[in-house]
Parts: sequence; C-alpha cells; structure tokens
Amino acid sequence: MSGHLGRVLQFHLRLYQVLGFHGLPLPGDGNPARTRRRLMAWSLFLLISLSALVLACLFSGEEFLYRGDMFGCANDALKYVFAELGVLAIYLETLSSQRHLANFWWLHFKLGGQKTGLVSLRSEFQQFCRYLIFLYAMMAAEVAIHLGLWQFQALTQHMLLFWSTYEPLVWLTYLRNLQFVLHLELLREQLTGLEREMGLLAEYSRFASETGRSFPGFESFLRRRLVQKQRIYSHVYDMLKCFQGAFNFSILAVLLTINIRIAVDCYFMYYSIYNNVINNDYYLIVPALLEIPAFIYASQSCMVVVPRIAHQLHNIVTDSGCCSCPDLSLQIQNFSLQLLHQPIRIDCLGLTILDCSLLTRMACSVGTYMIYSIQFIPKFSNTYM
Amino acid sequence: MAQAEDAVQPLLQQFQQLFFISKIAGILPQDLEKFRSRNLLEKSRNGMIYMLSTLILYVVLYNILIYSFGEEDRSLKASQSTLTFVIGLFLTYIGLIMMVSDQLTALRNQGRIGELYERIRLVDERLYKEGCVMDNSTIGRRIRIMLIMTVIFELSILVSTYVKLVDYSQWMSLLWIVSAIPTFINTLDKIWFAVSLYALKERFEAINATLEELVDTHEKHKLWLRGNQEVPPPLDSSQPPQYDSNLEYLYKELGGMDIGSIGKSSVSGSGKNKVAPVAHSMNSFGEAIDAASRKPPPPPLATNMVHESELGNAAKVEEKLNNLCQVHDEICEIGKALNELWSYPILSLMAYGFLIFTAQLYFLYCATQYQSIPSLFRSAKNPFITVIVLSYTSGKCVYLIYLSWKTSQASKRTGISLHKCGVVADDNLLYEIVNHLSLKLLNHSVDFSACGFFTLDMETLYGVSGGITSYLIILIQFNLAAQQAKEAIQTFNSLNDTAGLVGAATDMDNISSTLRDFVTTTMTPAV
Repeated sequence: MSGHLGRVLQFHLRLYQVLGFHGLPLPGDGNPARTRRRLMAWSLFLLISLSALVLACLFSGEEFLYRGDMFGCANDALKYVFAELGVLAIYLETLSSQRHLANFWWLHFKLGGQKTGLVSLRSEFQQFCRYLIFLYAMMAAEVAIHLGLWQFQALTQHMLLFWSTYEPLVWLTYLRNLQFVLHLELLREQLTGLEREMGLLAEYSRFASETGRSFPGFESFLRRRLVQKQRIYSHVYDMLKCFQGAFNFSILAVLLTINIRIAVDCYFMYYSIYNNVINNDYYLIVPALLEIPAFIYASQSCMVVVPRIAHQLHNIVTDSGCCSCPDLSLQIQNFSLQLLHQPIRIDCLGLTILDCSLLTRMACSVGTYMIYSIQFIPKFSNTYM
Repeated sequence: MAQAEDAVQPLLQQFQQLFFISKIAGILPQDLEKFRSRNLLEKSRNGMIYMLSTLILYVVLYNILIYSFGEEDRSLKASQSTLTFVIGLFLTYIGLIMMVSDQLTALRNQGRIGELYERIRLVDERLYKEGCVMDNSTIGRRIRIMLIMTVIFELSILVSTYVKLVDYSQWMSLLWIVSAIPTFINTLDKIWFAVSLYALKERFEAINATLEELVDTHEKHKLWLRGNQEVPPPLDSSQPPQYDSNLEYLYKELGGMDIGSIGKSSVSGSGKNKVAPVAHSMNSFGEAIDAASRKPPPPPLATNMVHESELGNAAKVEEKLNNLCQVHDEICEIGKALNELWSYPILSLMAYGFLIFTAQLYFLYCATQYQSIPSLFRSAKNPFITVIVLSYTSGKCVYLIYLSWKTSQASKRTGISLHKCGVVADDNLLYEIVNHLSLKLLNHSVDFSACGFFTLDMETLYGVSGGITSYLIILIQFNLAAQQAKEAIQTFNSLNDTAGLVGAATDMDNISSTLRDFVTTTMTPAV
C-alpha cells in the first residue's frame, strides 16, 4: 500500500472493488491492466450470478414469494424486479463507464487529492466524517432492525427465503448509494477548499485596502492566485461531469429502487393493518428512509457552495490603498462569468435536480399515490355489495 | 470563398433517400428534380397539388376506416362504460389531427425550409474557414437507421395486429393498412426535424472542439516553452502534485485523450468532426514537440515558437474567437428558426404521445378485465403489441426531447470552452475579449420549446411521466366504480341468480388483486 489515497479512502474503495462497483485498480496495485481486467470479470460475474438469483427466486416453486394472497406475492415480485433493475444498472454502468471514473480519479489526484506523507487517521476520519456516519449508521440500523425484528416476528419459511435472498440486493443498492455520497463528498471537499481560499484572498485584499499595507505587485499576486483558482474550478467542474458520466443511470436506478420500495412498503403496511395481517417486517424500510436523504443532502451541500464562492469572489476589494487595479477587476469579471457558465448542478440525466426540493416532491408523490391506492382497497373487497 | 464552397458539402446531400420517400408519401411539396440535381428545396406548384390530394385521400380513407371498423363501437356505448366510449371517440381522431397538422405545416413552410438549409450551408463555409470541416456522413447513416427503425416498428405493429386481432376473412379488413398511415407520416416528418437538430448539435460540438483544440495546443506549447521538464506545471504552488503512474497509465489506456476532451465526451460522446489542420500551422507543432522530447530545445528557437500557438497572439486570436462566437449565434438563430418551423407538429406530437400512451395503457387494463375497447385501439388487446406500440410512440417523443436537451447543452458548453481559452492564455487583452464574448454567449442560449407551452428538456419528461401515472390511476378508479355500479344494478335486477354471483365474486377477488399489482407497478415511475 502506497498511502497515496489515505487509509480511509483506500479501505472504502477496496470495499467497493470487492463489491464490484469500482472497476479500477487503486494506486499501489501491481500490474494495473491485469487488475482492471480481473475487476471487470468480477463485476460481470456478480451481475450474472445476482441476475440468476433473482430469476431463480421469481420462478422457483419454493416459497420465495409470499403465497398467502395474490397481492403480497405481487408485492414481493415487484421488489425483486426493481432490485434486479438496480443491480443491472449498477453493474452495467461499472463495466461501461470506466473512462469517466478514471478521469474522475485522475482529476482528483491532479487537484492534490493524494496525501503526501502520513496523515493522521483522525484527520482522515474528520475529512470523511459525513460519509462514514451515513455508511455505518445505515449498516448498524439495518443489522439492529433485523436482530430486533426476528425476536418478535416468527421466522417462517417464506420470511427466511425471501429475506436471505432479498437482503443482499438491498445492501448492494445502499452501498452503491453511499458510493455516490463518497464521490460527492470528494467534490464538496474541493469546492469548500476553494471557497475557503477565496475567502482568504478577499480578506487579504480587504486588509490591504484598509490599512494601505501591501507589497509591490500585490495586485498581480492576487490576480495570479485568481487564475489558479479558475483553473481549479474548471477541473472541479470537469470532475462533476465525470461523476455524472460515471453514475448517471445508476443514480436513477438506485433512487427509483429505494423509492419504490418505500412506496410499496408503505402501502403494504396500511394494507396489512387494514386486513389485520400480523406482519412487522415493514419496519425494515427505516434504513431505506435514511438512504435518499443521505444522498440528497450530500448533493445539496455540494451545490450550495458555488454561490458562496461567487460571493467571496466579489468580496475581493479591487482598489487597494492608492491605486486601483483594472487587471484584477477584469480577472474577477472573468471568473464570475466562468461561474455563470459552469454551474454545479447535480441532476440525474437532466430529469430532475437532486436537491431538497426533490425530497419534498418524493414525499408528496408517495402521499398522493398512497391516497389513490388506499381508495382502491374498499372497492376490491366488495363489502357493500 | 470559392474554395470553401467547393469543399463544403451541402447537408441536404445526405437527405436524398429521405426526401424521395417523403415526396412519395406527400410530406414535402418541394420540387423533386431540383433537389436531385442541385440539392435545393424549392417551391413547386405541382408538388403542392400532389400533397393536397394525398392529404385529402388519407383523410377520406381514414374516415372510411373509422366507419367500417366502427360497427362494433356503436354497440360499445350500450354494453360498456361511457368513459371508455368517450375516450375512444376523442382519441380516434388525434392521429389524424397530428398528420394533418404535419402536412399543413409542411405546406406553410415550403419556402422557408430551403432557406434554413441554405443558412446551415453558409455556417459550414464559415466553420471551414475557421478550420473545422463538418463530416456529414454520420447524418446520412443516422437517416438510414431511423428509416429502417420506422419501417420495422410500423410493419411489426401493422402485421401483428392484422394477423392476430383483425378478422381478415373480409375484404374490408385490408383497410386496416390505412391505420398505420398517420403515424408513419408523422415519423417521417419528425426524422427531418431530428436530423436537422442533430446537424446543429454537431456544429455546436465542432465549435467547442475548435476551442478545446486551441487550449490543448497552447498547453502543449507552454509545456514545451518550459523546456524538457517531465513534470507538468503544478496547479497549486504549495502542493506540487505527484502523478500516480498507475492511474496515469490507466487514464491513457482507457481514454487515450487529454483533459480537454472530457467535457466533449461527456456532453457529446462522439467527436466525429475533426478540427482540420488546413488553415493554420498547428500541425507543424506536433512534430516540434516530438523533437523537443528527444533532445533539449535550443533556447533561441523558443522565441520563434511563440507564434505557433494561436492563443499566444491575442490580436490574431481575437478575430478567430469573434468569428466562432458569431457562428455560434447564427447556429442558435437557426435552431430557433428550426424550432419555430416545427413548433405545431412538435406540440401535436407531444399531445398525441401523452394521450395515446395513457389511453393505450388504460385500454390494456380494460382488455385484461374482458371489457370491450374501441376498435381502433385493438392493439391493446395483446400485451406484446402494446409494448411495441408504447415503445414506438414514447421512443419518438423521448428521442426528440433528449436531442433538444443535448443540443441545448452543447450550445451552453461553448461558453465553458471559451473560458478555458481565456484562462490558459492568461493575457489581459484576451480576458477582455473573452469577457465580452462570454456575456454574449450567456444571452444567446438556445432552448427548444413546443409553441412555448413547455420546453423540450428532460424535466418535462419527468413531469409527463408523473402525469401519465396519475391520470391512469384516476381513470382506472372511475372504470372500477362504473363496473361495480353496473354489477350492483344487475344484482338487484336478478336476485334469483345470487348463488351464481357468489362464485363470480370470488373470481373477481382474484382479478382485483392482479389489478392491484398493476396499479403498484404503474404508479412507480412517476415518483
């Protein structure tokens, strides 16, 4: 291990490699081309075997699907089908968009992402604090609910078969979701770093103009720094483009899968309460409820940095002391225009912007469809006939 | 000028087959001979008459079709829910309306379409002078693929419906062929729009590629000026980056490209249009850099090499950037004109797509409940044919929306490339030019819309898919309520059949749970 990436990042990328989500060798791997081929083969193998598993579950005579009534059976089948969709999107994207991913990491290295020397584990933990919290909270919640639930709930044959096959798929979608969060956190780190440095520049310039103390060539120093920041911003923007190129379809698929699971389970919960079916496994949607906000929170916090960068940029005082500096103000204009041309906008395939308003809309749509479909229940049961 | 005219191939050259088919089908009134000989779209009186007569013929045939197949529809109202009947009545004519609007718009536009392609040709010439040669052969291939796809879809829908669902013992059943005419004509018309739009997108990408090429050359040039250093210029002076040899290697192996082309590939995916080294001396630079890597460059040569990168010379590059931005504006204007020419057909297509998609799914539901459905929507009786119909209709709409969105993105990408030029050259004069042009580009974005009712971008798609599911659920609820009311009345009317009805009720339970799955499946994509 070369220590280029930092141990936390290295460990988690290794984890994603094992899951077949990250098809690129890490720094320090010997013979990268062979590693890459092996990783691709591994992803393909996982894709085929998971698809085979889902197909076997859907069409087997065993009690993988709930056999009590048609509705429960279809519910389970629906979950399998969408999980399969998610798996398909995830692995096909891993196999097909390696170029974008490689570009992403290359830009990350170029922007000084690798650690020179040994950085303390503590600072690494701080760096990826949000991601780690999301990841381990999700894992803990999932495991805890499973442990707690099976104390109360009788473990029937169907439950055992269903959950033992469905649960891995759930974990895969969750971990993929957190892989997005990890990449977004790296982007956010770059953006906040840029914002901080812009703030410093603004402060320097303010100090220089208020006190009149500066050194000869201060303006040109500021200007040089600004040009450098413009380059960095451009690279960060390219990083975002690579992120989108590498993960577009799986973002859509993962969000859809989780969202459908929530919608279906909410409805099923109502249905089983309505029909007095004793079944508590809908508590398992709690971790799913955490997943979408985690991703949306990460993307939102990336997007809110850009206006702050622009704000700091215009805080730079162009006339320091006696003379004003037309060059510097020209540079600021240029950067400002660049920011207008390159907005950081995270959306999946341009369908919808991934910020908190999406969360509201998702909640609304789940509510609306719940109401629609709850209306169906009395009509089906024919009680008034 | 004369050289540019010779070298630039008109875009319309690629449209020969499409024009021929469109002419036969009566979509375009322009003169066939002139198009063949000189690639010109010109007004033609005969063509107009021919087109109007085909229009009338189609309308008459379609009405005969509706009349002859509508025998069962008249009994539908009595036997089935009023809702199904009314929806059927309303949607029977929407295909016809779409076709008529296509043909009438083509008649209205017959003079202006020619102008549009002439403008594109002028743009090509200007681009040629700036050093990009447009390669139109991909467009020809695209047209052929689209034509083949259209024929495959139309034929598979037509033949499978005819064989499976039409009573072909009667002579009148041959009229069913007419049912494919409106969609076929509509698709041909949309191929014109889509391909023209794609051509515009390629031109935007060519401009972006030219700008990126400038940046690349300048970067290589700067690297070379620095001497034979292996380490690229550090981004951050406080933290000299070390390139990881592994990933650098991989990066090269995977992409075989440099940083400038990331944006291009992520936005476009196809970089077919090469920046030709005709007008400038860029190509000689590549050799120079090879030589430089082998032996240390002699210092006096460096002063000569300054002029090799265009971005080094602000006054010279100003003209080029100005020209490129003007061409960009012109392409935006052409895009707006194109959008305006096709605004009503696009609107009617989107309305058609939305209504037909919803209706087809609704009728599919009705068919699974053994209710009768309007005769023209008989393809809904078979789930597989329904899938083909739905993918054909939605494919048309989604492709147009996707292409409009991509074109708009490509036009916005130019500003980014322009700023890269400014930053990499880092020259005050150039910054002034870039700032000015950048503002200009911000004000000149092209967004495609359907008559201004909604923009053609992916967000619309999101909204539409939500709309379809909501309406579908509401329709199904109405249908369910109507069925139950009807059955309740029947129960009261025939009390002596109670025993039989109990059995039916249990049957119904099974059916209704399949319905529930159906609802849960369909409600999902909107979320």
